[in-house]
Amino acid sequence: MRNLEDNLRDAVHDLAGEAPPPLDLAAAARTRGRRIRRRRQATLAAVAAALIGVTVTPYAVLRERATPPPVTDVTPAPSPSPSPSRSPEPSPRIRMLSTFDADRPYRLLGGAVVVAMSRTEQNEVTEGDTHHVLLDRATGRYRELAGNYREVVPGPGELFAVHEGPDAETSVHVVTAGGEVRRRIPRQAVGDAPQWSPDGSRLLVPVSDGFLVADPDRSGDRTFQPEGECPDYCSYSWLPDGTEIAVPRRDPAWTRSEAQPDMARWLDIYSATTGKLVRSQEMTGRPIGTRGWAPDGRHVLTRTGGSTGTITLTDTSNGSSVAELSGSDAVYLADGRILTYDDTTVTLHDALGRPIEKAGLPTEFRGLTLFVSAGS
Amino acid sequence: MKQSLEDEFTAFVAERGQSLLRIAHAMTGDREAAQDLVQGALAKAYSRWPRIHGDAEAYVRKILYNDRISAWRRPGSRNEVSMADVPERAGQDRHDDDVAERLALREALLSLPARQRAVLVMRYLEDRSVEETAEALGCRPGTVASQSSRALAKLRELVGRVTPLEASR
Repeated sequence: MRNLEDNLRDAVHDLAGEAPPPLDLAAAARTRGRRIRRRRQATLAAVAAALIGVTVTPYAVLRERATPPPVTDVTPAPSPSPSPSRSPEPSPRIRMLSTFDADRPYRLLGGAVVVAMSRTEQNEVTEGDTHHVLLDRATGRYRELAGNYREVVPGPGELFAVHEGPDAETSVHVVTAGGEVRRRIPRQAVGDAPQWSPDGSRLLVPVSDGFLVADPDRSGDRTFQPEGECPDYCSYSWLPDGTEIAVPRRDPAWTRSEAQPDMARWLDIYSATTGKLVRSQEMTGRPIGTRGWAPDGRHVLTRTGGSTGTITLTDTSNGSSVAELSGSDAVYLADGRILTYDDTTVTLHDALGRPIEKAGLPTEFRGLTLFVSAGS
Repeated sequence: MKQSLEDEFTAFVAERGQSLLRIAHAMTGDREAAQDLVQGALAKAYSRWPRIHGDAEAYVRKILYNDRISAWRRPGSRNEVSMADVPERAGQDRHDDDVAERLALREALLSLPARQRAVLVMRYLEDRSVEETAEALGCRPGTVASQSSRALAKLRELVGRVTPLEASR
């Protein structure tokens, strides 16, 4: 008797052999394809108007919008290193943010700035078109990104990394806010978005055989292979000093299942220069990215599961949870405070994760994915 | 779209349509679902044809696989056949062991989760390498290897459960 794999090969070929004949495939695909194209063109115009044209569009801001003064940071900054003792949570103050003006950087709480906005328009079947508006730091104005990219990763400087989508299907591009491609990195980001180093001098790209550290200005990329196995939902991040890279490692005792994602057990820290494993620490969550590291490295914002899970403020010394934060994304500010945000609300937290100030966003931000920088 | 590109799309579908349907049918086990899957992938290709026509085959195949497994991990959205639905082999007297196992494997294959099935179709129908499969599915080679390994283990379990050939001798 032949082995199972030989018979499996025959069985798969048998199944394939029972495929129906290709009748009218091209005509049917044309009809559906034209519909997709029409919707794409219509939504492109709508999105551009929604994102760029808001400067002249009247809108209502939440319920009781007061005249919006420029957002300034009025809350004293706490120490970046919270003490382990917990005090009662203060009540956050509420403020309403000003209208979006495409001609100047949009500031949130704590001096944070919106550096990019994305909107995905779902059309027929499952494919969506994503449009991006980026802050051109040289001019202080927002511009729609030329090119068809699925995901954008703002850098600390003027450059952005973009990947996936028809214009970068198998590569990562380093682009300016206007869409000028400065460098094409001929590798596909796998499993997670690229991450800029804190100083913007290097780009970390998760690839199929490990992770790659690239210079945005020149070739000579280096690929390293981590020693452990990443969980289903992986994440790569730079530590605050820019010399090390954190990669979660899956718990080998966790039974893999199609129904539930892997659990992480450790956070492995690698040298960004040599790719060698430097140390490991217990942690069941995965860092949300470089933006999720406290400036002093003693805390990190983590998630378990996919990109919609709760954000947890985690103590890096023992992997314990300090606080759970609301919001779909978050960024650490330079003074150790934390800003969480979604498309309706932004909340400033102290270093212990306690909310200290909250603000509403104008309705124009609904449905947008925001990318926020700690300030500039 | 220019007539030359329209003609190119027509020629592409005429040349590759059957091959794409074979892949889709191997993954779905259903003629109607296979046609819908291929039509959807071709529609997306058509809508971007001026951009992707140089590498249309890879583009369409990638959409085909990813559309099929896009429901991965969403509870209640799988369409695999339950183990209880895997039929007993009929007419063992009329078939030799290999034919009987192929029949059982075919049914067992359709009971696997979509992602595992996609991995097996790429590996055993298209003879793609682990690396090529990983690239098409947007995952790591290690994930392909583990999915493939788990799928084979499950098939052994299923086929062993419904076809105790050795025990029947």
